[in-house]
Amino acid sequence: MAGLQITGIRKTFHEVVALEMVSLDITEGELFFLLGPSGCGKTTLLRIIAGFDKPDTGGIRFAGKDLLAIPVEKRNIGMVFQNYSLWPHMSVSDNVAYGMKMRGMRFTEIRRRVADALTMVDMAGLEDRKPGALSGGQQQRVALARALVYEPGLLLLDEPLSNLDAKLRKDMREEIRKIHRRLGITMVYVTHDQEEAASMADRLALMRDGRVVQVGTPKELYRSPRSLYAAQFFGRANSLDVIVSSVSASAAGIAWGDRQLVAAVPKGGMLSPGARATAIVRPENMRFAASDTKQNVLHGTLAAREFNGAVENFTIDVHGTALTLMTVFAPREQISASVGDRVGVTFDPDAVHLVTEGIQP
Amino acid sequence: MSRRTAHALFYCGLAAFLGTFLVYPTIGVFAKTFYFNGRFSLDLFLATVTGPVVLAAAAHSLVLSIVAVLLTSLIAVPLALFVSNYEFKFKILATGLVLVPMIMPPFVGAIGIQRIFARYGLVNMLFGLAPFDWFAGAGFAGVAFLQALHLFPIMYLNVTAALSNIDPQLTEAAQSSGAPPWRVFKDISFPLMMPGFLSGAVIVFLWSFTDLGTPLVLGYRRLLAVEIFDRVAAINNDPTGPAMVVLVILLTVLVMFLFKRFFADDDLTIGSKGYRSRALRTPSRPMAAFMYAYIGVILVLSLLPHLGLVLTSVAQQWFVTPFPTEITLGFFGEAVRSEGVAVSVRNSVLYSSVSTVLDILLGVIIAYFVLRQRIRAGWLVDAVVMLPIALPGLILAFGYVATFSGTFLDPLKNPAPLLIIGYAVRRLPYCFRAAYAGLQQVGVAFEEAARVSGASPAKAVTSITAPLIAANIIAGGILSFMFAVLEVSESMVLAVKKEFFPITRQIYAMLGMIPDGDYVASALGVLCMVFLAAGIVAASALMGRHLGKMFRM
Repeated sequence: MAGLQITGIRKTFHEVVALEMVSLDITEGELFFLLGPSGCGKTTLLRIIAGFDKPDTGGIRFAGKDLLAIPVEKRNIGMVFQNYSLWPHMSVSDNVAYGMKMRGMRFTEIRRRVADALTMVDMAGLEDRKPGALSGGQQQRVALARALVYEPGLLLLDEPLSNLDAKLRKDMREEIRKIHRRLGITMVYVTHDQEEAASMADRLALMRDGRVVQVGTPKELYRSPRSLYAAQFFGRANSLDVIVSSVSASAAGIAWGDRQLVAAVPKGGMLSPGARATAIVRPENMRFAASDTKQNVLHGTLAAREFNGAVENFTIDVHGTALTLMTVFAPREQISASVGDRVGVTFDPDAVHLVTEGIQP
Repeated sequence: MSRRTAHALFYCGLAAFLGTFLVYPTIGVFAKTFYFNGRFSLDLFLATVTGPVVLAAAAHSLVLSIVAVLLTSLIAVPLALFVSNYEFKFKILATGLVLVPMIMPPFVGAIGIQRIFARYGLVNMLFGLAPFDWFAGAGFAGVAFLQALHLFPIMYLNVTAALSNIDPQLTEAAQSSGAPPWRVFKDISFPLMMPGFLSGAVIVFLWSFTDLGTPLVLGYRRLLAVEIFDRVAAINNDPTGPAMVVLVILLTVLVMFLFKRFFADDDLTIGSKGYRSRALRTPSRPMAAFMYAYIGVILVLSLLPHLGLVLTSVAQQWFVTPFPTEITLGFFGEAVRSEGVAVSVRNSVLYSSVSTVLDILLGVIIAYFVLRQRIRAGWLVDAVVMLPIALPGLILAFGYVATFSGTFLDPLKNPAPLLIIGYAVRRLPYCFRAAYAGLQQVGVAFEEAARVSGASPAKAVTSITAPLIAANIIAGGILSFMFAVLEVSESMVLAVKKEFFPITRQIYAMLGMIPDGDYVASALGVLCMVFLAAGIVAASALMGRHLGKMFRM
């Protein structure tokens, strides 16, 4: 089977568990993200795929071959490192040509491909420069060209954009997406930046403490997080600790303190009255309540409002719990409430996502 | 070859080399001290170290070392602070000149400075002072003074390296918190440079504690090193020699232990993410005047031995005048033509070259296994390899004589193999540290990028890592070679026959020889100095501000 199969990977460093039974199935040609905070094990997993570290247990297969039995240099992998790791004693073209020389390719072919690769990343004309004479963004492009030029079967990217400024980062995201679409190569991309993952990934694995918490498309993770952690790491979320009071075929009654709220029942959800859960509502699904709104209304004090260009964020203090409400900024429909005013907020039942994972009984 | 096999081979090779030429001779000296007549006994050791002569010698040596540390600190710390904080005219020249004392063993400097301060020497004649030989009765003070002048660059390099590692943002944070300059120094810079300072202090202490050449030339013999040297010839008849060596080893270990226990583990060199280089200030007028005066006095003092040596080497006629009245280059010719000198130069180059090649090979291999292969006992290997920097040459040489006499390596028959190995063992830390620093700077990702591009482990090392750390390796090699040529203690103890004399032993042998031994010895000293100065300049150019790392514990 083509693609990358990771099965039951466990890795410890001096008794500290870095990865615990990680299994993933990455489809051929997919741009797959490993997302998570520092220390969650994503880079360790990438280094194991590359062959720099060996797992304690588990297996990795790529294009049907057992990768763990193959030394690093024979795996036919390309890799873009966090700090680019361009060899400072070699010119741009020597850096890009290196992998092809290692493969014993003919000189004319190497020259042609170096030129093509540098054109692809918009670096033509800078062949003779040393890496030290390039800007961060240019180094990043050369690193990408170096990793792709020998047409590896798999491209690994370790936080490749983390050293670039915000503007350049955005441009490079689109650049990498374009290259991925053009070459159709399988890519595994490590990042801690959820925005990067959301905007680029075909699918992603969210990781925490060495484990994969959830796998899915960015939209799936955003709409249906399986845990409070997933909801909060992937996008902003309001969370309310609730107790399920009643369950019907389409809706569940939930109690948040002495307030009764209504939530849609998740597909295949196993809810029973009396169960504890966390109700998650995204800020953009909240709105200010009209005076006649009856369902799912919470009253509180407007604690802050923050204008952010396209959107405006409001923080409402509801009996000590801060809820965030986000609206698209529309000058003609300005919200008149000021900080300190009493306001009511509301949300639709199907905007409530109930999760029970990780809830203390 | 599998990783496990490679590691096993590495451990075996390292254990065989260091075990035979570092551990075994040391154990041999302990055995001679504690094991005789078929049983273990403390009697000899206790009787020796409580004897009045040894007690007094040990006390003198300890006080001498402490004084040397104090004097070098007094010279080097302000100097390092000036250089690290201020921009001033002639800075490059001054920072180059402060390294000059390193290019000459202090005992050669002693020849020069004695001439400067002799009864009718430069100082008395120039300032019209009464005829008085400053160094004739100086004894202890003279040795301490000369050692301080020779050793302060090591302290200076350590402190400068420590200061350069302090992220300027750390001191700026203190400044912006409202701390005046002296508080910034006291609360931030001083604590952060402490590990570097102490590392230099330990090297100076141990060097002074076991220096043999300076006290011999100045005729101050009431030191442990001299007492041990006097007993080398009678090693098989006088058992107190090994007992004294054991005493030196124990004191050395104690100093090292105290250093490691209390200071060495503090990693205070963490820089923040936005690290940038230190911005240098322009000194105020009074500050500039003070700095120039301070640096001037230090440079004049530290260059006096060299001046004395150069003047002696060209003095055809020098009597009752400040400077020679007649100049000649004849002594250089004599030095070059002299058969003994030619043999000693050839010997030194041979011994030092072979030992340096050995050091480079071992240093790079060990650093690679410790850092890149992440061997299990990496910390232990690091500690053992660095041990010789604290192991006095006198002790190692004494151990060799005690252990290998009567074997095929007997130094009495042919000391060349043991001199080469002894030079290599004691200078291995320089090459190891240089390669280690190089590998650290280069970072494993460069090599990984090559591996993932398709290079085999060996190809990744030769095409990527080796060129990138070449400057470090060459610098480490140059320093190893230079210090091997400058080596005194091992050469004095092991080279007994003339045909095996290295340069330093030859200079010592020529001193006092009638009619012009001192002059020819001085000429030879000057030639060494020029040769070694070129070495320091080359190493400094290659290592840049990382040169100080070579003299770290």
